[in-house]
Amino acid sequence: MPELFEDDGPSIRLTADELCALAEAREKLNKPVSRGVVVVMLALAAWLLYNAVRLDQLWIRIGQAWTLGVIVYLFGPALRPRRRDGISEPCAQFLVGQHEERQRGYREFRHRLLLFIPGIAASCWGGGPEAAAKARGLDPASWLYHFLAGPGPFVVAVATLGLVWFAFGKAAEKAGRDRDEVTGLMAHSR
Amino acid sequence: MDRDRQDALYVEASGANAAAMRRVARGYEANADRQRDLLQEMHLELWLSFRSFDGRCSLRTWVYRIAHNVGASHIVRARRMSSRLVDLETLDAGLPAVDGATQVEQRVSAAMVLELIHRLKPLDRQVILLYMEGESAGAIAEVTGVSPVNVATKIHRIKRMLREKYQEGGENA
Repeated sequence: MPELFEDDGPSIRLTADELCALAEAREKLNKPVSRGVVVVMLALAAWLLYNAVRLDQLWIRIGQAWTLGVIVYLFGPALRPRRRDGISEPCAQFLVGQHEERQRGYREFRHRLLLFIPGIAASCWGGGPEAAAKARGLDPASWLYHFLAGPGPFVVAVATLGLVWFAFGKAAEKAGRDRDEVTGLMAHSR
Repeated sequence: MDRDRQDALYVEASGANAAAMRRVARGYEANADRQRDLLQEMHLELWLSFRSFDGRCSLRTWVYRIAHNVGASHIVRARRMSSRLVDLETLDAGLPAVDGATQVEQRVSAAMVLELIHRLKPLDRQVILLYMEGESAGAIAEVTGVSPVNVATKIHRIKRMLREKYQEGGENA
């Protein structure tokens, strides 16, 4: 058997007070990330809100307002502090919990993605992409203008959502397989 | 639980198991800087965990659970890395023979085995690390939650794998 366990690894001496300070620092460390998410969400919300108020086409306003709601619903939970539950459980149970959490997260996100479709549909139905093309001064004879004026933007947006939906489904399946693998090892334990 | 008791338990547990925690950190992370960060995370989680320590298992088992769970969480989080991890069976098939004839070669072999451990999936890694700590199959089952039958099977496989590879290496030398 090789002498793997010689004591030449890193050494750490921490007092309880230092650990307490570390725990507080870790909480603070998450705050800039949360603030960043809040700033991006607020900017996006302001832009969507501005569009919803400024534009006079009803369907575009509905679409923008709907999308705003979905974004808050989708990314709001990301602001909740993450906790490492079950850290003192036997490792297999802890891993099962981790894989289940991953799987649940992927599935929830995947289902919520579908909520974007009504907003996109309403915006496209109301001629949102064409209005944006006009606002940017695009030549009505250009291919881009034609594309934006047609069903293209809706098809591209839905296809993109479909791809993301598929990718998250695959990730959820992988997490499920990882969980089953660990569960199989626990099967005869109790 | 009051803060004094939490602190006292941490001091007792970390004092008795500091070296074991270092070894666990080494089993989950090869990079020295990240190893230090991981070890610090283990100490932090250990201290926090004593808020809910109920004494239903020994301190040593508790420390191992926390350390290994933090380690497992570390490799599960690094998804690009975790997708390349393999189980014992796969590793067994791909493990090269090593020559343990001299002390220098033993150290090289040890580094190789440690490198191979870093390629294992979390539960297999936990079993092999605990086995190398000299823990019994029962103790390993208590820490990992893997059934004793599966632990025994894995230990048997680990022993056979290492013995065969070392013998092969010795004969080839």
